[in-house]
Amino acid sequence: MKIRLRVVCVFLLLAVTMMAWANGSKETGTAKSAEPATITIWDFKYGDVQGVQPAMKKIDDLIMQQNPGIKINHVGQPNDNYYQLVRAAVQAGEGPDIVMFHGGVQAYDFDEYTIGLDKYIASWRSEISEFSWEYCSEGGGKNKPVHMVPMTTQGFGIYYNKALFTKAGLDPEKAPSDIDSFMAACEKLKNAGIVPITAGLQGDPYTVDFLFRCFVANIYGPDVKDLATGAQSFKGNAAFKRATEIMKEIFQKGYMDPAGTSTPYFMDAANNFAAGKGAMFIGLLSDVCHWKVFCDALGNDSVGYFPTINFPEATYKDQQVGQPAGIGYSVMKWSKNPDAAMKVIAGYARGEGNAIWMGMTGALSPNKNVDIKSLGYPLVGKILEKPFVLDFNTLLLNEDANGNFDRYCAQAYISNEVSLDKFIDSAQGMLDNRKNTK
Amino acid sequence: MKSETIESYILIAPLLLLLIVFILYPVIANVYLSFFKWKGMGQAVFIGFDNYQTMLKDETFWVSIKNTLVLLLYIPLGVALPLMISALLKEGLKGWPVFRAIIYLPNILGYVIIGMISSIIFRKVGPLNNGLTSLGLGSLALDWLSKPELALNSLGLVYGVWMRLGFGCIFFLAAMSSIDDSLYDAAKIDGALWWRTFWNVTVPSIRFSIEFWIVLSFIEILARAFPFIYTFTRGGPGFATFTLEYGIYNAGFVAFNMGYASTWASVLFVLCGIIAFFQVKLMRKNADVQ
Amino acid sequence: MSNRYRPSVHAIMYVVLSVCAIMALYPLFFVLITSLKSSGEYVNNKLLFPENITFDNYIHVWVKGNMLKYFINSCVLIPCGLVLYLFVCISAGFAFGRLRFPFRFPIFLSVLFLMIFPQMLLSIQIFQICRNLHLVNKYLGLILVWVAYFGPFGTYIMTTYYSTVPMEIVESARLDGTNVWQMLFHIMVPIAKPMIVVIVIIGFQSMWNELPFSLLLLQTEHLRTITQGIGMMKGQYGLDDTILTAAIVSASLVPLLLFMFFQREITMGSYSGAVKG
Repeated sequence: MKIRLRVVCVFLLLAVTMMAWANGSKETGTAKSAEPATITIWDFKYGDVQGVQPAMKKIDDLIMQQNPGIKINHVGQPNDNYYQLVRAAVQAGEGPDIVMFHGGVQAYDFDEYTIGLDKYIASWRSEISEFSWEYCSEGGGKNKPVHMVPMTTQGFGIYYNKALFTKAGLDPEKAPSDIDSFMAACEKLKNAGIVPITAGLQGDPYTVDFLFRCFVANIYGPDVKDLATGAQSFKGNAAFKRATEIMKEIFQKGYMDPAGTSTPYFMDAANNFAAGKGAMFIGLLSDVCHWKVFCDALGNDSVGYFPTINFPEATYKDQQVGQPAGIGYSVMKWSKNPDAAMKVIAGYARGEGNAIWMGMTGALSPNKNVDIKSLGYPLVGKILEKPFVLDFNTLLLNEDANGNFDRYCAQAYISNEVSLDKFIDSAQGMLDNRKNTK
Repeated sequence: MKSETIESYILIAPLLLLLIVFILYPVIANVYLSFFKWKGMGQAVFIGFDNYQTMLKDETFWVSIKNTLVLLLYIPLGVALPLMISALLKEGLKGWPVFRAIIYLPNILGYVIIGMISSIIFRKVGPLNNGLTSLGLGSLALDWLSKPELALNSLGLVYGVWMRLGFGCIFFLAAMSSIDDSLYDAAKIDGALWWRTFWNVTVPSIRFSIEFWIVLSFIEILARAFPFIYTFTRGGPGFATFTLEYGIYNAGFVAFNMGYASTWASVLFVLCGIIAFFQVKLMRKNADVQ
Repeated sequence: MSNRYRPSVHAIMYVVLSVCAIMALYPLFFVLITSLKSSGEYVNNKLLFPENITFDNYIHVWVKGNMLKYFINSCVLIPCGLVLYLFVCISAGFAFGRLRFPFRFPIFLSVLFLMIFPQMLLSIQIFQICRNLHLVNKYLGLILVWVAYFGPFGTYIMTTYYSTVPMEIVESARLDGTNVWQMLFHIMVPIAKPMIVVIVIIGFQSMWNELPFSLLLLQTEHLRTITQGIGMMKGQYGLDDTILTAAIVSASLVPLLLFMFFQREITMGSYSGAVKG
């Protein structure tokens, strides 16, 4: 027994040493290959083996085919700790050549560590709108160097199930986009025994969050950036107050799915809408919870869309809220092959690679050259008719955009522990945080 | 030096070395960091006590303290339940190892997974409420996760009591196995009922284990609850289940305000230090007894 | 001994234990039936038995999710970690529990104190230390961190165990003039055999389910553990419950089996206190 134990110990110790050694050599293995240039990409989307990874693998192969001197090492990182890892890499001063970022505040934090891309994009700059380029520039400012190439634009809007509308006696071709017809439609749906709004409220109540973004787009329209400077605010704005009251009304009249608090938005609520369990859904223009999934599930002719709810107090109407860049790629300062890295990024952002990207994942590409019609979903064309208005969420600090706003929504509408006035105060607080941080 | 001393130091050297490098240094570095403003990368800027002032004015800080304290109130139940179940198991009923094994199962899955599963089970339209309704207890089928008080208490019950059961049984059974059987025989002669025996024989004999379990419970709730809370309620609804640990996570890994996170962490250290103080007293008492 | 109570008390005891057992088993049961449902069915039937049992979710997890690689990684990594863990805990436990040396008590208390801190607090600094020691993306680095983090608890258990070992055994060994290492292997380990199983199980479970440190220190595909693998699959938007539960079942298979397998040893471990005399 004793001898066996010792033997086992020795064996395991050898195994450990072997592993440590093996890991070491694997690292140097890839580094030694100076020809071809190895470009390492970090990505929080790559782990999605169902939708995104196959698309990316295909694009990577295409790029390597078109650029024989480049070898792509595409590493997926877990989403929850992504930025922790990136910051750790920055702190260490070494890491991947290309890093994927969420557009907006998340990316601006890294402006110091990513290179300016103006000279690389000069030849094809016009393929993407200046609206997106500006958003992807240093600090999001006008006429500042571009630091990120956008891969997607994102937005929010309201999808509806035409078949269920017909069943409730509503005209499926007329979207209920003003407040009176919206409420009337909800009432009719409710009376017909159909859940008016499929909601995802468990954990983070995204349905409330996203609907607010749609409201705010109507209230402030193109001037939404004023919220960050203080020229406009939530507090004291009659239209914003009205919006909070509308939201409350929707809950109180039972138009939100009663099982909503038991349904997380991702992915259960979306799945519910796709399965026809509710008439309307506050959905995304993104690579999930979007037109592709719903049209596939319910049929191309059975899905309708309208961008927001119009109400008299709001200054604007039918504003499509969006983010000029949902995700994008940047090149890190320490990269030894920025030229090659940019070739890779260009392979994703334009041309055939971009078409594959949009076609396979259903993400909306900001590249104007992409043939939307070729996707085969007429609904998309209709959605993209309207220009985007900036999503106010992109103006907030990290913690407010990614957590606190959802908490305030939950307090006001799910647990009902704060009054609407307190909610407005909290929302204003987020704007103040942004204003005071510079 | 005596050879025994040299040997001892050699034996504890690996552990101490690892602890100093990987635990002690980070802890000290954390406290040091609380006087700086740092984004996880780049320069750390010295700002003195600013972080502390911000923290004390921060509403969510006081909410998190309150939530943590409420969770601590579940410790008595979290001690009593494993204790009683262990005493039941100890009786040697037929098949008791099977029960012990089954009761330990949730611990095998880990906090994250149990948190995920619990967040499904406790939904308003979920297995728990369905079960209650079918048992005729429909009025108890509440919205466990969406009302702040309910969410916090559900958290306390599931994490503070139910999850302690598995390991608690193993822990207490091991402790109880060292109780002298003659004590039980004496009780039997006196015609004692189960409850009497439990109070007068079992509990006093394993007092040290019980006290240590209490200390462990404090540690679990103060410093190990985060993975569970994250998957269970995300600290919500609103800030209802937002504890001190969650605040550290929020400040450190959502806002990337590392200095501020370290400030909250310092408060946690102080709380842990208080627990450690009692732990020391406990150990000392036990050492004297030995 | 169990015969001294009335049958009705017996019955009550069984009822209480059964309730506990059902509550403990239900989560596992729920996870299992959910993992066998298709996504479409799950939308409509969340709670009951699946009408059409499908293994698609498992195929998705193992084939598409690359779970096999992660599984093998975990199976290789954890035992190596356990070896170091056992070595450290047994050595230190024996020293604290049985030997006498100056500062024994204060050092022991410090060790226990260091057990308290949450992983989150330590992760950033630990990453920097590992980076400076070139231990990032190496299993050795992760093992060292794991033993440092989980060691105090294991040491505590071994200490309390060793302190119940009679002095005579140690004394007789010393008289034979054995040195530290012989004492370790010939005396400490055999004595501790019952407890070793308990420690192995506790250590195994802690390491298998551990996430924060693995996430920071293992950043490349071919090194990831299975727990990280599930985190990867989760992605930005979460996972369908059906696939998630399949992943959970897959990842928990080994700990569960191990636990079932070692049931006997744990039983012996619990009785060891009575045997010692």
